[in-house]
Amino acid sequence: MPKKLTKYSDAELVAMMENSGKQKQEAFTEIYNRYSSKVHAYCVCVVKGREQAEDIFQEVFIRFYRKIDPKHIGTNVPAYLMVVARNLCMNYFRDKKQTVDIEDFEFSELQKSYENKELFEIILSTLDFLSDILKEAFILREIDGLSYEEIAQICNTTLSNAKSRVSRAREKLIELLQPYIKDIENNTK
Amino acid sequence: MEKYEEFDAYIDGGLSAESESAFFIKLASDDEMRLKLKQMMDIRNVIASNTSIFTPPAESTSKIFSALGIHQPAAVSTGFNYKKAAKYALTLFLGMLLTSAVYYFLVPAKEVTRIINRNTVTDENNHDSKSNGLINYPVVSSKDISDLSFKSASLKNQKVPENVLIEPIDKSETNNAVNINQQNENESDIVGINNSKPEFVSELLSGWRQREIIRFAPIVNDFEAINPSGGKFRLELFGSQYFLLPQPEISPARYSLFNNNGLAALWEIDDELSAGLEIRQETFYQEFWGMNRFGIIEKYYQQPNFTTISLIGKYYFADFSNFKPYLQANLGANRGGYVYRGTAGLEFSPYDYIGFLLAFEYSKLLFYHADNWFDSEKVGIKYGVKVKF
Repeated sequence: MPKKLTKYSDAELVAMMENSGKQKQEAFTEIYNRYSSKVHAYCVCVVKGREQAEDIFQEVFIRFYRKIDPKHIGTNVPAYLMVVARNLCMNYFRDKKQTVDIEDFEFSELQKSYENKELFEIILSTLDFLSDILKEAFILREIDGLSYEEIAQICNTTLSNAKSRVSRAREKLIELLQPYIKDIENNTK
Repeated sequence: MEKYEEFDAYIDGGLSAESESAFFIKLASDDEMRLKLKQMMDIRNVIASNTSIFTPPAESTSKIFSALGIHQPAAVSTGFNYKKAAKYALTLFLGMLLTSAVYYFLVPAKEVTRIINRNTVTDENNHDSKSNGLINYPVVSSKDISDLSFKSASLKNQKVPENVLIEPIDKSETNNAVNINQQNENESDIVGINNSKPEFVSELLSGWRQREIIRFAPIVNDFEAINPSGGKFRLELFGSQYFLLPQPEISPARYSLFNNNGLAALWEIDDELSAGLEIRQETFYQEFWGMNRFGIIEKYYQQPNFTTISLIGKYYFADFSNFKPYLQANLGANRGGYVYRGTAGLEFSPYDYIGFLLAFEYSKLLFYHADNWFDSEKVGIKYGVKVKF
């Protein structure tokens, strides 16, 4: 009796996707179920506009299905998906200049108590003040939960560089979020 | 190790037990690092509690699968492959249906002929050695000859079938006899008939004269004799309109080709009770809860398409001429879970072999997710046609 798709490894599912028809569809569906959340989180965090983020997210999986090449994917499917997402995001930023409205970052309203969701939006917005490489490293580590090896592979850098970028991103983010730290602290109690 | 290397290693869970102990000792005396650690953990908690970014919207998922031409997956799985089971059950049902059709319509019972009369004619003059001296011919007889006229008839150059014989009757029972003009025998003219009683009678005279008479006799076929199942098998084709409970938050990603349509096959156990099998295409709106990887409970909304196969029990509790009210219970399953359905309706049969139905339905889907049972309900109107075989 064939085992359930959830028990297949990523490499086995990629191999199944080399076939056509129902097997390919089922393998793709399983991969989508496993990694769509991470890819979606990455796209939403990197791209400011929600609609654009959704478009890029959809394009990632459509390209993955239509142009799959097991030799390029190897055994690390999430890393491959992130690379595709990253490239699409970079293309998006290259085509459209991203500007951040300074009004979005009025730090004077310190008396206001923020809800959890608002704090999250503030964190995401604050990430824009980081350089692209630090922002990307932080998102891949803290939001997508990828390992340093995977981050190094996606960002095409060394392992030590990947660790360094995440460390610097954390430090910078804590510094930038100081005005909101009290609200963050209260919100997590 | 650098101070902040230890800090990052601890956050990433990369310190050994010994290193961790040493780190805690340093933390106790380093206010700055302790504050930074606390702030970083708080930021992590805010990120973890905002899981909306991790969940792709249903619309995005739908667009991806529609662009690729793939059937969209359901979020809930009961662990049992209902799709495969439904496929096997459908194959079995269709096989049974086909076998029944072949048996009933192509393989006649020995004693049933294809024409009205079940009786067989024995012709003592023609023997068939294989059938023990008896030959069975199909018999044609007329019940109503009120419009029969033998006053004038012309049979010139008419070819008469050779294998048709008149059912022989006792001459003493005949009230009338066909008066055949003996002089016109060769031209096959029938010139008169005894009009005292318009009744078709026959006599086993010379072969060709009897065939002539039969040729002009009106034939009434009684179709009851060729109904092998005795009118016990019926098919119902129906559609439905539903009101989902609770009101759906989202619509299905797509509607299947036969959405809210179904087919049922029933066997009449007696005049009041029938049982059978039904296959139906439908949607159920589902709301359910589950825990994500951060330990946060999320609520899911979906409205998938289901192919539901059910066993049916139908009970007619009254009979008002052409109108028959009924109650029906369905017990079935689909890839989402188990389905229970109760129906109260009315059948209108202007003819014995065809009818129309209108009913009120209540349906309930029971499904299982993450160690919990959930349910989904809907009420609706069902309408359709039934054909009796």
